[in-house]
Amino acid sequence: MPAQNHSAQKLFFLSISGFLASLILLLALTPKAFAQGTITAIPPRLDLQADPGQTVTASLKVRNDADIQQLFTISVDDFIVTDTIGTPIPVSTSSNNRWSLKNWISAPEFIPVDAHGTQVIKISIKVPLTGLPGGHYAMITYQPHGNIKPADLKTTGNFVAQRVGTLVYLQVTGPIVQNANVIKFATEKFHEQGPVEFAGSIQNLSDIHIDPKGTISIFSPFNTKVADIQVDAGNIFPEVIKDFSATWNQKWGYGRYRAELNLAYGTAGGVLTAVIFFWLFPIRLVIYSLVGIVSILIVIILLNRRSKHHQQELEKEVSELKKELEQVENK
Amino acid sequence: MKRIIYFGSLIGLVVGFVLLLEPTKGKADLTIVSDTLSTSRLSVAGRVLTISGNLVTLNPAAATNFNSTSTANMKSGDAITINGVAQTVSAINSTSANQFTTVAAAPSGSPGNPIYYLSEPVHQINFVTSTSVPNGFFRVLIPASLTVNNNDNVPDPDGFDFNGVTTANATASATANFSFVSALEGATASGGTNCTAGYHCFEFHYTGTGPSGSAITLWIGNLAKSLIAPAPASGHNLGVADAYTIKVQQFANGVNPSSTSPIDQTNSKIALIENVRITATVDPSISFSINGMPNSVTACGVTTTINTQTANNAPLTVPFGSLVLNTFATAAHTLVVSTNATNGYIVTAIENDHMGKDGGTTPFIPDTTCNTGTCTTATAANWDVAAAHPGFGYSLESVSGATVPFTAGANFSAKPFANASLLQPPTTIMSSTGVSNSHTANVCYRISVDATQAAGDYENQVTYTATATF
Repeated sequence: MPAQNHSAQKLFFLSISGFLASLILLLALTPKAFAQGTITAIPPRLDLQADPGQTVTASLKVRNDADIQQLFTISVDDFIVTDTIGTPIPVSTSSNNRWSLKNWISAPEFIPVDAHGTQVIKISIKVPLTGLPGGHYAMITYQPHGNIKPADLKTTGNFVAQRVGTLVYLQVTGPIVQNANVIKFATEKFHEQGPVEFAGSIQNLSDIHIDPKGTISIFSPFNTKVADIQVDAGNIFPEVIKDFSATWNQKWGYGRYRAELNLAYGTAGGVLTAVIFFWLFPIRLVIYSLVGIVSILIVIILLNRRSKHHQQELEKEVSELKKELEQVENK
Repeated sequence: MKRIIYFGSLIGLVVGFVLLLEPTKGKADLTIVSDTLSTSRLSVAGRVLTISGNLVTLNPAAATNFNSTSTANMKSGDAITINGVAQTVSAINSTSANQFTTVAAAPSGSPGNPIYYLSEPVHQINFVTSTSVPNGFFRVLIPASLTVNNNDNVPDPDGFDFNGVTTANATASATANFSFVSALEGATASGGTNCTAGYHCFEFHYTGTGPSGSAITLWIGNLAKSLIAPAPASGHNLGVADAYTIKVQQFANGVNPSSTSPIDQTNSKIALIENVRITATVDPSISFSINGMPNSVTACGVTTTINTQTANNAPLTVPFGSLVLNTFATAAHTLVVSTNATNGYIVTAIENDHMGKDGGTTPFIPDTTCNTGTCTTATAANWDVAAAHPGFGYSLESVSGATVPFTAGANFSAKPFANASLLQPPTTIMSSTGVSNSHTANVCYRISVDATQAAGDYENQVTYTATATF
């Protein structure tokens, strides 16, 4: 009996060991997954103002919608804008960057955020006494798993980094040049019918970003205003050209119209103006209509002539018959 | 004696039985009486403690006729008066129970100056008649203050203020047999002609047979003007309603209601309480997610061969694994962006370097130049022939709302990623010029190697950054 008990115990422990070994193997073979989730930066843009030598503080937020707590790496980068649609491009070499802000910002390097939680990030910006008046720009981005390097993958592939961030605009007070030009304001010279699309470009020559807003006023061939179209060009980075567009949703017109662009920008009462002329006239429709009318008139005239000719022939026949009758009667 | 008691009892029983059978006159009640207020919100009658610019502090101590001691019954947008000057509440201080701000700078006021908000509910009074009264009239009595002026257009602590209401502000619904005569309507403030002090009186005269069992609806007040609801009563507790009793009466034609008992009368209760202020803040935000895709699904017009959804370290990897020479391996991610930022968002992409052996710099899998060697980070070109065109690149496909700079088309139009080690700027892969709700785009990765590629694991990092547009 003791021998039987011993072998039963042995079998039991072997079974348990086998089960645990299988479990460990299963766990080891199960693919390890990063937390899949949305990350949110609050707010997308942060506008601040400070005097040279002043320190300002602000609170940002980052939200983690993954099902587990994540450690976010916080990066502060200068950025510039070079294209016409306003893409912020991070720049790593900021020594020559007149718009640099990165080196003035103090922010934590890492921050843990609970699952489905929001974390507040306190930043401070210390403006040096020598800080140039005007705009200074940086982006603060949050990236989960920022400590993982491509070599950690141990297989051919790409590690994908997911970053979302806040654009920080700091205006350092002082004498600030505010100037801008309309580089382009155009539409097609001739439109048979609407809508009429306007396209434009504005060059910001200021020490700070500008946000031109205003209207395109449309005047009819009789010089009466027929429409005001709202225009918001959005923020334009200093020394950058940015495109804007607007649409006049008018289908039909009857001549040469005038479009006046009036945009206000900056804090010094700057105004951007431009004037263009364009035709809105349904030329083909008018030509087709005229051709149709002329054709109808020609048909009417031809029918009329034919009718007259026919009548004349009948009258001629009648007169000939009369003559013949008279001749017969005379005989 | 016994006979006297016996007959007396018998006579008493008979008389009582007869009286029981006799129909009661003038004692019936109007039924299903209700007074529904368009708002049950109390008015506000408080006092200034301090004023500093736009910040007003309400006196937290009650005083005679001024029992509003907190901002619990106020909300942004309320039209109020401070010491008789019209103001609009812009915000209620969320941390202090008795502070609020005004849109315009508040007048310099001294402690004790009155702050009023007028709540002017419309009374909708419903009931069913019990007695047939031809050519009669209904009278509604609304409680009024007996202690303060009840017709001075400011809230009273113990009744409705008359607020100069006229018959133009009262109406009745005509029904069959009840033709209401507007010329005979009456609206009299408490203590006026034929209106006993303590109630404001409203008369609705009608012609017709006025049968019993008729449903009647009367309105006192309209959008133009209504009685002013009471302010909190003395000793009022926050969140506890102040109750008032209204009376609805029916009279015969031509009688003086102040000296004649009504044919029918029923009382009804109304209760007024602080409003519940509900607040919510929507932060400006930008949200970004990267989602993996399984293999054998179509993205960018091709079938994926790599799983980025459940593979190791998914979804933030593209695990191409072992590559077959001169054969494409294809994977994809779905990028989703939502933002309420004006002027939209931009997502840029950049790789840290070529895909280098063991994450190093050399040897490496080159970035693709596509079929004809013409595609660059700025220009897309077709890349659907793997042999003799090794490299790593990507293509795009807008799924919902997103603007992408190029799309795969029928021949997998592709580009190489911008390369940070070559100091190339990140390139835009999806964008929008307005607010977006779950804008979605697919990024499709493709790789091919030839026989000259040294054996080993090749890796790099692709970074996607989502921000608002400048």
